[in-house]
Amino acid sequence: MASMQEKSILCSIKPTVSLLVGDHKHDFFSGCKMFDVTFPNIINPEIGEICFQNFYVAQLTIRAKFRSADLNGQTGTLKWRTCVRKMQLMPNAHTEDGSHDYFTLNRKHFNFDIVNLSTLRFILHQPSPVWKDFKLEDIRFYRSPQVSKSTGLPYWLTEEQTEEKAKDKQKLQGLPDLDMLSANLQALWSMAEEVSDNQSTVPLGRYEVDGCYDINLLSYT
Amino acid sequence: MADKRKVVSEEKSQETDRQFLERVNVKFLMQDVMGKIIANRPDDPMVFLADYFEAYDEQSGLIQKALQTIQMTHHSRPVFESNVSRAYNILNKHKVYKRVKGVNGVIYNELLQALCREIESSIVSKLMNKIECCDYEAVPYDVFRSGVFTCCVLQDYCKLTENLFQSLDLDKTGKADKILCDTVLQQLNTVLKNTKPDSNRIFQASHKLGPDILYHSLERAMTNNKGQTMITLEQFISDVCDSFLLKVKPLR
Repeated sequence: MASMQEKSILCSIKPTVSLLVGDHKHDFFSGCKMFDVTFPNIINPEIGEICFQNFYVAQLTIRAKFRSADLNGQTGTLKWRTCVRKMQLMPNAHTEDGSHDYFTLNRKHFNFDIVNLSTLRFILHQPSPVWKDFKLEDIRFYRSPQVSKSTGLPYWLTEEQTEEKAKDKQKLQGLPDLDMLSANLQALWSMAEEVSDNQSTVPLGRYEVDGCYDINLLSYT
Repeated sequence: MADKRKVVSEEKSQETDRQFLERVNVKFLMQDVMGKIIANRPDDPMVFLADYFEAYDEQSGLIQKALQTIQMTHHSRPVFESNVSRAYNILNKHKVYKRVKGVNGVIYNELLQALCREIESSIVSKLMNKIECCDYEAVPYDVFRSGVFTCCVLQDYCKLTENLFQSLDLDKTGKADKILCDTVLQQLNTVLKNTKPDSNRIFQASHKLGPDILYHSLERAMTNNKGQTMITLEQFISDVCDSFLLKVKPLR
């Protein structure tokens, strides 16, 4: 996978908080949860891509708290801004569609570039009461978008045999029947492979290597 | 004494057919042979039956019995595995000394030699160098199975190589063009040398040994060289078997 190329950014994901409605005695779930992500070990973190697997989250909102640009040597003030607004993860909140999909959000999905970041807040919406729980799993952050290198098709698939080639073959004299030859060779190959797969791995506990003993195994007694 | 004998013969004359069959143990024998013939599904059931009863004879040695059990079926059939394990159990009766019984190197090597009877002796000795056990060594089942399987496959491998040679021997003179043979062998070797644990390997191999690639490599080889060196069947089999033997792991 392409994301193996770059290491994901170290972060600390805070516990998820369920947002409740009502007083302490009569509260009920609002269908909304949130959690914060901070990047304690990184100065001025910058995020180009967020990857995660969905687990029954219908809509996702991401808000970012970041420092505005420095003015005259003074550190800028902290501000909240909405980076992703109510992104639909499940087309229909009551049905399974999209409930376990993998998502990759990059600059195209963000309302602005995420730089000088202090905290990211994920707000998860699930209006449907039919799901017991909803969350995001396996969240990873990357500095730059992962270019997924399209691995080309292997050569043995792309090379095509044309009719002309087949005709040419007949011209060369002194060659055996190629189809039969090929079938024979493939059978030989498969036999040799089968044997190599069936070799015993149980050691007999021999001391010799190529007919000689290892000097270290001999001791004066 | 005479009275007693009379009583026995009277009892015998009174017994039914069923009782007779049970007494002489034929019922069990027939059940066994029917079970085996169904499990192994031999191409020629008559030969199978003949071999079975030949090995049933108590006089024949353990090796003969084990050999017959292994050769009951082709190594590609699932029942082969259980046949091999039965052969191992038969050889377990081998007396090592006094009261010690089991499969040791002596009997194991003898069985392998018997399995390879139809293969060229020079190839067999090369194979034996790799999978032979020392006479005093106890042979675990896994080693036994692997050795037996290798011998059985090698036998087929040699036969197939012979067919291959026939198709390369264009003029049917018993000798084939060396360049032609070498190119084919080289193609096989390059595929066999690829040992990467990758599922793509299978596709690559079948592609490399496909008619297209073969054609190209043969064409290249044939146009560059017009040498008239010839190669015999024995030499060719020996060369092709060498690439097979690369796949056989020597015992440790």
